[in-house]
Amino acid sequence: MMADKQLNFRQDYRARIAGWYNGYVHIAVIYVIGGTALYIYAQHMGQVLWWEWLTIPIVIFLCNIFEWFLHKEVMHHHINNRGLSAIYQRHTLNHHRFFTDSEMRFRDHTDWRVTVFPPYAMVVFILMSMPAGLIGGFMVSPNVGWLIMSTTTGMYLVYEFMHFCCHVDENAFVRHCPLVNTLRRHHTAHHNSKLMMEVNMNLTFPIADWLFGTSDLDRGLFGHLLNGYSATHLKTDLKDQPKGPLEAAAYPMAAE
Amino acid sequence: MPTNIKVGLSIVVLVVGVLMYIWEADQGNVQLSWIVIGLSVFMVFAMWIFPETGQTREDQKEPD
Repeated sequence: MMADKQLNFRQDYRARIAGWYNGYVHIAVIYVIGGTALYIYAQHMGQVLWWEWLTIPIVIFLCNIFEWFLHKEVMHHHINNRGLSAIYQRHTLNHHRFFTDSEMRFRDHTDWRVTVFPPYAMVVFILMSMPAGLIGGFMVSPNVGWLIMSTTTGMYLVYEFMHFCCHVDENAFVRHCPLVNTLRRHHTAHHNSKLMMEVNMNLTFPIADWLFGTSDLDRGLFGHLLNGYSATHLKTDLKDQPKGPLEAAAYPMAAE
Repeated sequence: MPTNIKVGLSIVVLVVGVLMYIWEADQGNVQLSWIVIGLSVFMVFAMWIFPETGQTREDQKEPD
Protein backbone atom coordinates (compact mmCIF):
# COMPACT_ATOMS: atom_id res chain seq x y z
CA MET A 1 0.00 0.00 0.00
CA MET A 2 1.36 3.39 -0.95
CA ALA A 3 2.43 5.64 1.95
CA ASP A 4 1.01 9.16 2.23
CA LYS A 5 4.47 10.59 1.62
CA GLN A 6 4.72 8.90 -1.76
CA LEU A 7 1.14 9.79 -2.61
CA ASN A 8 1.80 13.46 -1.81
CA PHE A 9 5.00 13.51 -3.82
CA ARG A 10 3.26 11.96 -6.83
CA GLN A 11 0.50 14.54 -6.67
CA ASP A 12 2.98 17.38 -6.29
CA TYR A 13 5.15 16.15 -9.17
CA ARG A 14 2.16 15.69 -11.46
CA ALA A 15 1.03 19.21 -10.70
CA ARG A 16 4.38 20.47 -11.99
CA ILE A 17 4.18 18.63 -15.33
CA ALA A 18 3.12 20.99 -18.10
CA GLY A 19 -0.50 20.41 -19.09
CA TRP A 20 0.42 19.74 -22.72
CA TYR A 21 2.93 17.01 -21.87
CA ASN A 22 2.02 13.77 -23.61
CA GLY A 23 3.83 10.53 -22.78
CA TYR A 24 3.09 8.98 -26.18
CA VAL A 25 4.69 11.94 -27.96
CA HIS A 26 7.65 11.80 -25.57
CA ILE A 27 8.35 8.15 -26.37
CA ALA A 28 7.72 8.73 -30.09
CA VAL A 29 10.30 11.55 -30.10
CA ILE A 30 12.92 9.32 -28.44
CA TYR A 31 12.32 6.43 -30.83
CA VAL A 32 12.16 8.69 -33.92
CA ILE A 33 15.58 10.13 -33.00
CA GLY A 34 17.02 6.68 -32.26
CA GLY A 35 15.39 5.02 -35.27
CA THR A 36 16.54 7.74 -37.67
CA ALA A 37 20.09 7.55 -36.30
CA LEU A 38 20.05 3.75 -36.74
CA TYR A 39 18.83 4.20 -40.35
CA ILE A 40 21.71 6.59 -41.07
CA TYR A 41 24.28 4.19 -39.60
CA ALA A 42 22.84 1.24 -41.54
CA GLN A 43 23.20 3.10 -44.85
CA HIS A 44 26.97 3.07 -44.37
CA MET A 45 27.39 -0.62 -43.61
CA GLY A 46 27.89 -3.33 -46.18
CA GLN A 47 29.49 -6.75 -46.54
CA VAL A 48 30.03 -7.08 -42.78
CA LEU A 49 32.68 -9.72 -42.05
CA TRP A 50 32.09 -12.37 -39.36
CA TRP A 51 34.60 -10.86 -36.97
CA GLU A 52 33.12 -7.38 -37.41
CA TRP A 53 29.82 -8.69 -36.00
CA LEU A 54 31.71 -9.40 -32.75
CA THR A 55 31.58 -5.63 -32.20
CA ILE A 56 27.95 -6.00 -31.10
CA PRO A 57 28.42 -8.31 -28.05
CA ILE A 58 31.57 -6.44 -27.02
CA VAL A 59 29.80 -3.06 -27.11
CA ILE A 60 26.71 -4.50 -25.37
CA PHE A 61 28.98 -5.68 -22.55
CA LEU A 62 30.73 -2.29 -22.29
CA CYS A 63 27.38 -0.45 -22.40
CA ASN A 64 26.17 -2.70 -19.59
CA ILE A 65 29.11 -1.69 -17.40
CA PHE A 66 28.62 1.98 -18.35
CA GLU A 67 24.92 1.82 -17.46
CA TRP A 68 25.79 0.21 -14.10
CA PHE A 69 28.47 2.82 -13.38
CA LEU A 70 26.29 5.77 -14.39
CA HIS A 71 23.39 4.53 -12.27
CA LYS A 72 25.55 3.76 -9.22
CA GLU A 73 27.94 6.69 -9.26
CA VAL A 74 26.01 9.53 -10.96
CA MET A 75 22.30 8.85 -10.62
CA HIS A 76 22.65 7.86 -6.95
CA HIS A 77 25.45 10.20 -5.86
CA HIS A 78 25.27 13.95 -5.69
CA ILE A 79 28.20 15.40 -7.66
CA ASN A 80 28.97 19.10 -7.51
CA ASN A 81 28.37 19.75 -11.19
CA ARG A 82 25.20 21.37 -12.54
CA GLY A 83 24.66 18.87 -15.33
CA LEU A 84 25.40 15.79 -13.25
CA SER A 85 23.48 17.01 -10.21
CA ALA A 86 20.44 17.48 -12.47
CA ILE A 87 20.67 13.77 -13.31
CA TYR A 88 20.95 12.89 -9.60
CA GLN A 89 17.97 15.07 -8.78
CA ARG A 90 15.85 13.62 -11.54
CA HIS A 91 16.66 10.06 -10.54
CA THR A 92 17.20 9.76 -6.77
CA LEU A 93 15.12 12.71 -5.63
CA ASN A 94 12.28 12.39 -8.11
CA HIS A 95 12.10 8.95 -9.72
CA HIS A 96 12.77 7.06 -6.46
CA ARG A 97 10.21 9.05 -4.53
CA PHE A 98 7.63 8.75 -7.24
CA PHE A 99 8.10 4.97 -7.44
CA THR A 100 8.81 2.87 -4.36
CA ASP A 101 8.52 -0.88 -4.00
CA SER A 102 5.06 -0.21 -2.53
CA GLU A 103 3.85 1.33 -5.77
CA MET A 104 5.95 0.91 -8.91
CA ARG A 105 3.28 1.56 -11.49
CA PHE A 106 2.40 4.40 -13.81
CA ARG A 107 -1.09 5.77 -13.29
CA ASP A 108 -1.29 6.99 -16.88
CA HIS A 109 0.93 8.27 -19.70
CA THR A 110 1.73 11.56 -17.96
CA ASP A 111 3.68 9.55 -15.36
CA TRP A 112 6.07 8.46 -18.13
CA ARG A 113 7.67 11.89 -17.71
CA VAL A 114 9.45 10.72 -14.55
CA THR A 115 10.81 7.53 -16.11
CA VAL A 116 11.67 8.05 -19.77
CA PHE A 117 14.69 10.32 -20.06
CA PRO A 118 14.27 13.73 -21.71
CA PRO A 119 15.43 13.91 -25.37
CA TYR A 120 18.73 15.55 -24.42
CA ALA A 121 19.92 12.29 -22.80
CA MET A 122 19.62 10.40 -26.08
CA VAL A 123 21.42 13.25 -27.89
CA VAL A 124 24.24 13.28 -25.33
CA PHE A 125 24.58 9.51 -25.53
CA ILE A 126 24.90 9.59 -29.33
CA LEU A 127 27.50 12.39 -29.10
CA MET A 128 29.43 10.47 -26.43
CA SER A 129 29.51 7.39 -28.66
CA MET A 130 30.96 9.27 -31.63
CA PRO A 131 34.63 9.30 -30.52
CA ALA A 132 34.51 5.51 -30.02
CA GLY A 133 32.76 5.11 -33.38
CA LEU A 134 35.36 7.28 -35.12
CA ILE A 135 38.28 5.45 -33.48
CA GLY A 136 36.77 2.05 -34.37
CA GLY A 137 36.01 3.24 -37.89
CA PHE A 138 39.50 4.54 -38.60
CA MET A 139 41.57 2.06 -36.58
CA VAL A 140 39.69 -1.17 -37.37
CA SER A 141 37.18 -0.83 -40.22
CA PRO A 142 34.30 1.46 -41.22
CA ASN A 143 31.80 -1.32 -40.49
CA VAL A 144 33.12 -1.62 -36.94
CA GLY A 145 32.72 2.14 -36.44
CA TRP A 146 29.10 2.08 -37.62
CA LEU A 147 28.39 -1.07 -35.61
CA ILE A 148 29.68 0.69 -32.48
CA MET A 149 27.30 3.58 -33.14
CA SER A 150 24.40 1.22 -33.93
CA THR A 151 24.91 -0.84 -30.79
CA THR A 152 25.21 2.11 -28.41
CA THR A 153 22.09 3.77 -29.84
CA GLY A 154 20.27 0.43 -29.86
CA MET A 155 21.22 -0.21 -26.24
CA TYR A 156 19.87 3.18 -25.26
CA LEU A 157 16.50 2.28 -26.80
CA VAL A 158 16.60 -1.13 -25.09
CA TYR A 159 17.31 0.64 -21.78
CA GLU A 160 14.24 2.84 -22.16
CA PHE A 161 12.07 -0.12 -23.12
CA MET A 162 13.25 -2.34 -20.26
CA HIS A 163 12.92 0.42 -17.66
CA PHE A 164 9.46 1.26 -18.96
CA CYS A 165 8.45 -2.41 -18.57
CA CYS A 166 9.46 -2.23 -14.90
CA HIS A 167 6.84 0.43 -14.18
CA VAL A 168 3.79 -0.81 -16.07
CA ASP A 169 1.04 -2.76 -14.36
CA GLU A 170 1.30 -6.56 -14.23
CA ASN A 171 0.49 -8.23 -17.53
CA ALA A 172 1.27 -11.50 -19.31
CA PHE A 173 4.14 -10.01 -21.33
CA VAL A 174 6.14 -8.55 -18.44
CA ARG A 175 5.37 -11.59 -16.27
CA HIS A 176 6.51 -14.22 -18.78
CA CYS A 177 8.94 -12.62 -21.24
CA PRO A 178 12.46 -13.81 -20.35
CA LEU A 179 14.90 -11.01 -19.44
CA VAL A 180 12.00 -8.55 -19.07
CA ASN A 181 10.58 -10.46 -16.07
CA THR A 182 14.08 -10.75 -14.62
CA LEU A 183 14.65 -7.02 -14.81
CA ARG A 184 11.21 -6.30 -13.41
CA ARG A 185 11.98 -8.19 -10.19
CA HIS A 186 15.54 -6.83 -10.15
CA HIS A 187 14.32 -3.24 -10.44
CA THR A 188 11.44 -3.59 -7.98
CA ALA A 189 14.00 -4.71 -5.39
CA HIS A 190 16.16 -1.70 -6.30
CA HIS A 191 13.27 0.63 -5.47
CA ASN A 192 13.36 -0.52 -1.84
CA SER A 193 14.70 2.62 -0.13
CA LYS A 194 17.03 0.59 2.12
CA LEU A 195 18.57 -1.20 -0.85
CA MET A 196 18.58 1.40 -3.61
CA MET A 197 22.06 2.79 -2.93
CA GLU A 198 23.69 -0.62 -2.95
CA VAL A 199 22.05 -3.26 -5.10
CA ASN A 200 20.63 -3.88 -8.55
CA MET A 201 22.12 -1.03 -10.54
CA ASN A 202 21.62 -2.54 -14.00
CA LEU A 203 18.56 -1.45 -15.93
CA THR A 204 18.77 -3.76 -18.92
CA PHE A 205 20.44 -7.07 -18.12
CA PRO A 206 22.02 -7.69 -14.69
CA ILE A 207 25.46 -8.59 -16.07
CA ALA A 208 27.54 -5.92 -14.32
CA ASP A 209 25.61 -6.44 -11.07
CA TRP A 210 26.61 -10.10 -11.22
CA LEU A 211 30.19 -9.23 -12.20
CA PHE A 212 30.74 -6.64 -9.45
CA GLY A 213 28.71 -8.37 -6.74
CA THR A 214 26.04 -5.65 -6.45
CA SER A 215 23.11 -7.93 -7.18
CA ASP A 216 20.65 -9.01 -4.50
CA LEU A 217 20.94 -12.56 -5.87
CA ASP A 218 23.50 -15.18 -5.11
CA ARG A 219 23.73 -17.21 -8.31
CA GLY A 220 25.63 -17.48 -11.61
CA LEU A 221 25.39 -15.28 -14.68
CA PHE A 222 22.80 -17.33 -16.59
CA GLY A 223 20.79 -17.76 -13.43
CA HIS A 224 20.85 -13.99 -13.02
CA LEU A 225 19.76 -13.34 -16.59
CA LEU A 226 16.90 -15.85 -16.52
CA ASN A 227 15.88 -15.52 -12.87
CA GLY A 228 12.42 -14.12 -13.65
CA TYR A 229 10.36 -13.37 -10.53
CA SER A 230 12.06 -16.04 -8.40
CA ALA A 231 13.16 -15.04 -4.89
CA THR A 232 14.80 -18.41 -4.20
CA HIS A 233 18.37 -17.17 -4.58
CA LEU A 234 18.15 -13.90 -2.64
CA LYS A 235 21.25 -13.09 -0.60
CA THR A 236 20.74 -13.55 3.10
CA ASP A 237 22.70 -10.49 4.26
CA LEU A 238 20.60 -7.79 2.55
CA LYS A 239 19.59 -4.74 4.61
CA ASP A 240 15.94 -5.45 3.91
CA GLN A 241 13.79 -8.13 2.33
CA PRO A 242 13.05 -6.94 -1.23
CA LYS A 243 9.52 -7.16 -2.55
CA GLY A 244 8.75 -8.90 -5.82
CA PRO A 245 6.67 -7.38 -8.64
CA LEU A 246 3.58 -9.36 -7.65
CA GLU A 247 3.70 -7.98 -4.10
CA ALA A 248 4.37 -4.46 -5.41
CA ALA A 249 1.30 -4.70 -7.64
CA ALA A 250 -0.88 -6.58 -5.14
CA TYR A 251 -3.21 -3.65 -4.50
CA PRO A 252 -5.47 -2.10 -7.09
CA MET A 253 -4.09 1.12 -8.48
CA ALA A 254 -4.95 3.81 -5.94
CA ALA A 255 -7.36 6.52 -7.01
CA GLU A 256 -4.89 9.38 -6.83
CA MET B 1 18.47 20.93 -17.58
CA PRO B 2 20.22 24.28 -17.02
CA THR B 3 19.71 26.62 -19.97
CA ASN B 4 23.41 27.34 -20.53
CA ILE B 5 24.11 23.62 -20.86
CA LYS B 6 21.21 23.25 -23.25
CA VAL B 7 22.53 26.13 -25.38
CA GLY B 8 26.01 24.58 -25.50
CA LEU B 9 24.59 21.16 -26.36
CA SER B 10 22.42 22.63 -29.11
CA ILE B 11 25.45 24.31 -30.67
CA VAL B 12 27.44 21.06 -30.56
CA VAL B 13 24.56 19.12 -32.15
CA LEU B 14 24.17 21.67 -34.96
CA VAL B 15 27.93 21.82 -35.62
CA VAL B 16 28.17 18.01 -35.76
CA GLY B 17 25.06 17.95 -37.97
CA VAL B 18 26.56 20.44 -40.43
CA LEU B 19 29.87 18.54 -40.54
CA MET B 20 28.01 15.28 -41.17
CA TYR B 21 25.89 17.00 -43.83
CA ILE B 22 29.02 18.20 -45.65
CA TRP B 23 30.63 14.76 -45.37
CA GLU B 24 27.55 12.94 -46.66
CA ALA B 25 27.05 15.43 -49.51
CA ASP B 26 30.73 15.11 -50.41
CA GLN B 27 30.24 11.36 -50.71
CA GLY B 28 27.28 11.85 -53.03
CA ASN B 29 24.72 10.80 -50.40
CA VAL B 30 22.43 13.75 -51.07
CA GLN B 31 19.27 12.23 -49.61
CA LEU B 32 21.12 11.03 -46.51
CA SER B 33 22.74 14.43 -46.02
CA TRP B 34 19.28 16.00 -45.73
CA ILE B 35 18.17 13.32 -43.29
CA VAL B 36 21.26 14.09 -41.17
CA ILE B 37 20.58 17.81 -41.08
CA GLY B 38 16.87 17.16 -40.42
CA LEU B 39 17.75 14.88 -37.51
CA SER B 40 20.08 17.49 -36.00
CA VAL B 41 17.43 20.19 -36.17
CA PHE B 42 14.83 17.79 -34.75
CA MET B 43 17.16 16.89 -31.86
CA VAL B 44 17.60 20.54 -30.94
CA PHE B 45 13.87 21.22 -31.32
CA ALA B 46 13.03 18.21 -29.11
CA MET B 47 15.44 19.37 -26.40
CA TRP B 48 13.90 22.84 -26.24
CA ILE B 49 10.22 21.98 -26.42
CA PHE B 50 10.48 19.21 -23.83
CA PRO B 51 8.73 20.57 -20.73
CA GLU B 52 10.85 20.88 -17.60
CA THR B 53 9.22 20.30 -14.22
CA GLY B 54 9.76 23.17 -11.83
CA GLN B 55 11.84 22.52 -8.70
CA THR B 56 10.68 22.88 -5.15
CA ARG B 57 12.54 22.62 -1.84
CA GLU B 58 10.95 19.21 -1.46
CA ASP B 59 12.99 18.09 -4.48
CA GLN B 60 16.24 18.72 -2.68
CA LYS B 61 15.39 16.37 0.21
CA GLU B 62 16.88 12.91 0.26
CA PRO B 63 14.34 10.07 0.20
CA ASP B 64 13.92 8.21 3.50
